[in-house]
Amino acid sequence: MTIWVVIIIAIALAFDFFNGFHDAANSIATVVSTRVLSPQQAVVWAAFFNFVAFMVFGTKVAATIANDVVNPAFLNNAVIFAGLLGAVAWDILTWWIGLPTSSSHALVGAMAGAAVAEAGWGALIASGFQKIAVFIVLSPIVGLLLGFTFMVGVYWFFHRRQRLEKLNRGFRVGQLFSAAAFSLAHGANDAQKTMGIILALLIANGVLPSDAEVPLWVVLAAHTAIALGTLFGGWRIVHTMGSKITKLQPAQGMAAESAAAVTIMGNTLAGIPVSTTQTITGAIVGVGSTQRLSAVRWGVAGQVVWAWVLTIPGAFVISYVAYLPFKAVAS
Amino acid sequence: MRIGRRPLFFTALAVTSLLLLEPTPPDLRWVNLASAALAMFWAVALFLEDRSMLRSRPGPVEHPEQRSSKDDA
Repeated sequence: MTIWVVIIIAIALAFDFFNGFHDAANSIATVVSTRVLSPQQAVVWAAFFNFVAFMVFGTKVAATIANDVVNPAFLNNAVIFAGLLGAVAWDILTWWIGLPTSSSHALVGAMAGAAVAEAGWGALIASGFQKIAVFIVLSPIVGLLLGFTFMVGVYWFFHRRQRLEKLNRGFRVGQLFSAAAFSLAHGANDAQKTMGIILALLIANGVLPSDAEVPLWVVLAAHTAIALGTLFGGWRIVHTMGSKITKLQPAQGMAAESAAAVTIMGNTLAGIPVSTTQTITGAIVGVGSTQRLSAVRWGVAGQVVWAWVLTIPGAFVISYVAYLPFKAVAS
Repeated sequence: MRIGRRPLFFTALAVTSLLLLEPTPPDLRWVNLASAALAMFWAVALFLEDRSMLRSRPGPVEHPEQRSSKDDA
């Protein structure tokens, strides 16, 4: 393994760390805001489930990132490095603007941009790209529909028998489990994107054969990085997704987290990289719309639509430009 | 007949899911179909709820002054 490979792996793990740092708020916000757990307890809870996700789910998402986005024949150190650079730059830029973009989509767009700069449009695998693009839109819709359905189910089964205040006390405990499920789903889907990048890098450098599975040390490193990110970052960013989109009660928080967890887990099992942020946003909109559509702050939900449209092209352009100096040096 | 915003919203979700059917890989198309079916189910349920609420709502209450002016006439 060359020094370049080690440096790129370190950048990929840093990307994973910041993913955990940034997205932790999604899974712990409702648990903290309803005072079921303190912020410190909540991040430990979320980080634990981020980490143990590797024992529950396979590595199909990693395989999709490594093999189905860019033709592995065109992946080299410079392409992967420029791709990571583009994804990180896009994440920082959109975090600064306040756009709820997806690190996953940024990574896909950025890897594509660097690969196209290296070898033209033929470097991309259309079918893999198409699958990811479809589920960018479909996942928040599924999350929304499940959020609405779960919430109506809660009202039907429980609210008819008990007053909402009493019900919310019971659901505070339920939130522990829904937050755990969401953290598990988040860890599984997001950590695998980093695994996919590292797998592609190791194959490109001949460290692993082209049909290799993700090595255990890569799995553990990726899950450790995302769990540490959650542990260090989460409690600083408890500026809740929940209160940004619609004000949530414990029962609603549990329904939204459960809906998002089910959606992300389904995608993970199918090997599809999705945005955990956008899926939980969809689920919160779904839960909020059981009251009335005006309970949803459509400005934030609209930002998600902008994020869909802009992320892949934006990250593509940045990494395309970032790759050009490498190409100039090589030629 | 007036259709509320929520039934329209869920119908739009169903239509979007169906529009994405073509580019979705064949083995995953059941996701589009299931979400379109669920969205349509909620659209119809919400439409029926809106209608039943409109029907059960009492008619406009006459202001006492209006009533007295009618009586005068």
